[in-house]
Amino acid sequence: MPNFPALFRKVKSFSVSIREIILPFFLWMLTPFLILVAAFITNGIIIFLFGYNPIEAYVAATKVTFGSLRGVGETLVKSTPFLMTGLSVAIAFRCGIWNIGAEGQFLIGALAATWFGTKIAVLLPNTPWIAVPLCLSMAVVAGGLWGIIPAVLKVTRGVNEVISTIMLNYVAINFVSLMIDGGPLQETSKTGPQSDPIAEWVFLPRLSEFLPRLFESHRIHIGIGIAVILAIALTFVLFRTTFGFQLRAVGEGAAAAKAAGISIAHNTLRVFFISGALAGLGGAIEIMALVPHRLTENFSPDYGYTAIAVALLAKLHPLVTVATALLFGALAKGSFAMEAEVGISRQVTLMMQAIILLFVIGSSAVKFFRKRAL
Amino acid sequence: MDIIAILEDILAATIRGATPLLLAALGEVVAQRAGVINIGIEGMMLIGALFGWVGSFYFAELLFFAPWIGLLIAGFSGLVTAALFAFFAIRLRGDQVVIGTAITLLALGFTEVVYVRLFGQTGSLQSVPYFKQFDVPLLSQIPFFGDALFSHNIIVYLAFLLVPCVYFFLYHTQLGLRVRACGEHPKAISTVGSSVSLLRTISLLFAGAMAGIGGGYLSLADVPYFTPGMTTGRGFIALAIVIFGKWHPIKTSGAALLFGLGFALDNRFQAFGWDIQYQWFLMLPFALCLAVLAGFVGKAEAPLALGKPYDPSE
Amino acid sequence: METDNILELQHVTKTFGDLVAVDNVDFELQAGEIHAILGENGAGKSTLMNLIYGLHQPSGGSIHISGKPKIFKSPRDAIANGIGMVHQHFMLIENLTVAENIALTVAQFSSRDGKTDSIESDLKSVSQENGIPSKLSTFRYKKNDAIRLTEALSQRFGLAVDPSVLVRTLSVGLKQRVEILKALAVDARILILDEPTAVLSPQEVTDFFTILRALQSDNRSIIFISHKMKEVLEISDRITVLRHGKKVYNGKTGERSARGLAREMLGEELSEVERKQNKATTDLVLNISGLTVLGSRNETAVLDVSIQTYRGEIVGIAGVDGNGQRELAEAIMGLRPSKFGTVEILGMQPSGTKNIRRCGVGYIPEDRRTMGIITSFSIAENLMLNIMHFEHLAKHGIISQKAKNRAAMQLIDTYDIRPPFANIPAAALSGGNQQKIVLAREISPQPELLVAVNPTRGLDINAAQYVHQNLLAQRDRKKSVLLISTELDEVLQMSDRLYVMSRGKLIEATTHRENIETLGLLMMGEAATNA
Repeated sequence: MPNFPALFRKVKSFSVSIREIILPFFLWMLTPFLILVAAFITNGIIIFLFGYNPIEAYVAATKVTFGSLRGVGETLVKSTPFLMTGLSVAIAFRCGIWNIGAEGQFLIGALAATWFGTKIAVLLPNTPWIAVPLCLSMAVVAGGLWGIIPAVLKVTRGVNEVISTIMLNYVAINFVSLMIDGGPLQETSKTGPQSDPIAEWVFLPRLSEFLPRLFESHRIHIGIGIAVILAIALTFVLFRTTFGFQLRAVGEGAAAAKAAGISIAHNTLRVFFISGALAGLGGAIEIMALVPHRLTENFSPDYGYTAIAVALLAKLHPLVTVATALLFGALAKGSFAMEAEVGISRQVTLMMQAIILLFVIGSSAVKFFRKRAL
Repeated sequence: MDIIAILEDILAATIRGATPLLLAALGEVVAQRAGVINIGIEGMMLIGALFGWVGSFYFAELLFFAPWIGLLIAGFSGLVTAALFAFFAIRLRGDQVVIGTAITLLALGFTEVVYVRLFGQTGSLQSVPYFKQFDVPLLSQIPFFGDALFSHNIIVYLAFLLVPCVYFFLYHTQLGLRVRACGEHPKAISTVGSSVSLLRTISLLFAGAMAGIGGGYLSLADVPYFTPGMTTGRGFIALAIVIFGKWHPIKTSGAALLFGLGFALDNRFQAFGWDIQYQWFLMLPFALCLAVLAGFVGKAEAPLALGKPYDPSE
Repeated sequence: METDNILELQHVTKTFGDLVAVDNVDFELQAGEIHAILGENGAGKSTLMNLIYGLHQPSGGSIHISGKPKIFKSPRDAIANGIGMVHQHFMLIENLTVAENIALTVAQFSSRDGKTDSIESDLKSVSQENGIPSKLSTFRYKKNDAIRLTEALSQRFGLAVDPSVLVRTLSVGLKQRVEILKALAVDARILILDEPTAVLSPQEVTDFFTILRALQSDNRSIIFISHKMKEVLEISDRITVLRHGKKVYNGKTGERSARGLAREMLGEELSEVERKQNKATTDLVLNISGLTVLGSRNETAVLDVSIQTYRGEIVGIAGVDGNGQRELAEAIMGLRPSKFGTVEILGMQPSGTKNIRRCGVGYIPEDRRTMGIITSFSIAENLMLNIMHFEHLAKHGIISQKAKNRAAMQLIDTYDIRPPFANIPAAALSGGNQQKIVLAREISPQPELLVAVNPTRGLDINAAQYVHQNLLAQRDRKKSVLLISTELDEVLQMSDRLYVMSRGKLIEATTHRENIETLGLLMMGEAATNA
């Protein structure tokens, strides 16, 4: 004879969990989904007005991104920088900090990895087990410290972080240029504005090294795994630790957090460090994982700005960021196919990102979504 | 080259380099004074550069008038972009930082798509009628300064003439007074019967038009053609200039010249074989801007309500 | 309809959702009259004035100007009808000069209607000899014209102020002058002054009254909103008293004594809460001595305050809003630095909110929705929003979900928070239930000292009573409670010892109910000026 009271409690708790968790979650996910649909339609209309066939374009993009194992692999590769910078933005915005500086932090991370890979790694020849983690940590520290600058300015001098991070982006861009165009990191032949490739034993391993049959000549690398693990870890930190709790409290209600005994200044410093570190790590992964393994000018196609769209569409949730980064990676990858087959410039993806952002803004202005947005 | 010729060359290049920055920054001064931080300025410049050039291209047979029409279209396209910004920022009261980012991304994508649509992937650079050098009579005859200051295209003179105009507007007209009040204490201005949304929208549209014209300068006067992404961060520099110029049009023009100097030195340092890397000069404006913000170099006070959406019901 | 009333309100009602802020109020204002409106916090005074000034529109009733019904869609309409308002929080642009602030208003209205003719002719007479423009261009802003106009206005009304300095450099009293000048510059016939003396020093008040009398003799009408009985009796011709949104008294000044008016304001329906007699202990919990705290505008908000609380008692601090209570509480909690003096808790002097809380201090802040809870957080998360809680729920920094939910459900049960779900956002709860979250969180760790600021504001009677029971329970557990409230009823009922806070100073008072009028007078600054 079944234990009815227990069963009843179970059913009841299940129905409660539907009402409390599952239903709100679907409603919560509904907004990004609707935003995406609306953005794709709007973008399609614009493409159509330019005289291209939007359906053909979208089909071409989908085929090349998710149509084959190789396509999926490439999409993943393209998604990684979006994910890293997206996480960087998500965690900062979560804490109520408008870090627009992921672009600069990304570059500084890449710069640190390049410096390590070209100058320091020679001191540790053929020791990937030491060199790779060391190089990654170098980027974490560099990106984090770069992120600390606006935090210190904010905490001690009250400088608005939006402006300071934008300015620091350009300082970083020019600093990278300084290093690789006439500076100490320029390639030995001094021909172009780029660095030497980093030492081979600082390359991030690829999946093809472990499973050569299945992933032959695929570019999938363990950096993708690192990024996804970080997304999971950040979710855990945000929602399951006192540190994350304090951080969210500061972001959602600074006055209440302060009254509860949480220090706003400490959290600002910490979050800026983490945010910068994530973006910096993203830059290092790109250098260490992808050919030509060197720092060039225009190394980042505005990852740091796109990251804002990635994070906001994901409602600043690290796990959802994985999905939105994947989408943006697919857009980046698919845009090449759209360009090749339909003739539309691949930069159409930037337009798409902007439309998504504007719909995010628009949705939070509509009453129905306001409760569920951000 | 003797030292005089070098200085003359640098001074002339400084002014030319400062002009687009100044145009955009003057608009931004007004917008920020009204309380709107427009970080979509880069996008508005890019849109202006494209449409100015397209305008001149399609009206090329009008020869002399073609760049003028182009410039008008550039300004108008910037204004339309600003209207989009205004809809989201003022009507929907969205976050101005996010909207600005979106506008810049939108412009980066849109201009390239249009460009590729019109001229194909590998389209060679299409030259259009542009603003030719205009030597100011008599003044351009002055030794040294004549060539450095008075042998530019006409937009340069107009841009610098606009500085006192904007100053006059902000400090000597009633509307300017209201714009300044609007960025400081929007509620106060609405209790004496002005519309905050209207004031902010007008200021923003002006900023958009100016950014568009600044972009148009790049593709109609600086060089006679358009390349995608040709603004290369000038919009953000204009933003830095506004802060460095402490939200004042005349100080802003000084800041624009300083940044123009950075551009001028950019190309010339290596040519002269000097042992300083030009990037230091490109970095300087941004670093200076940070120093100003932090209060290390004089004190900069932003308009009090800058970046805050105004909700009349609060 | 012919009356000599320049302004008349008939059956005016204003509701916000369920809340009736102004309930069927009639009001008359005669030309050349100073009409005072008295009432406690939340009696509906400000709402009533906002209706007259066009900031809100009435839900019912009508507004008549000189006998004609009018509808004001915005302040613009009100200004055009000769109404000027000096807000409690000045509507001045601090980074503009005095002349610029005046010009902003004048240029808006001078050209559009004939209202300003009289002021212009007035000004002409003052300014003819200097050739001062009596009108400002609507296009150009001429600095010198604006300065001269401002000078002429100051002269005309005897309100001396330097027109060319930035407003932010002015003292509060001078700022107020600029506000009045602003209203007079567009020839306001009716001036609404919202708590005008709250920010002034006694000397400034004297000057201010001289100004008001001059305006009155100019046949302008003034609506004077105040808490301060003495000033009202001194300056007004007529008095209207509001209580809970209703007009409860209207009559000539002097008809009713100060005590009588205080009774009208406060009402007499005091409900009783059952409370045990308790013996005062001598265990010191909170010991503040010589505390001086600056407010957010760097003004001295708390001045040389000393107060002790002991185990097993509730110490009440009564007072009208804005007399330094908020700053005092924030200084105790380490949220605001103190300039002089010390705050000792159980003999220790912890620094920082975190350490203060660790010493066993609970805090019910006055602003529930911004300082008490985070509306987007779940109930469970709000229940642990206290450094003491989330540090206990966590092991090595990781919060156990089981422990968190169990703790939350237990508190939800004990404090009867509804709906009883741990994981729904606090925004979905009523004000009373949100306050229960705060109570549960702050009281459940059994703090040695509980600082409660306006803990029942905005709550219905049942919810308020629940809060009171909990505060009393805390007292009966031999803990110490510092209750800061603007509700005189509340502090009288609850407190074992009572203080009144006025202009940053504490005055000891008795808790005897019979003395309610004396207390009312104390709160309204009577004693402060007598002392």
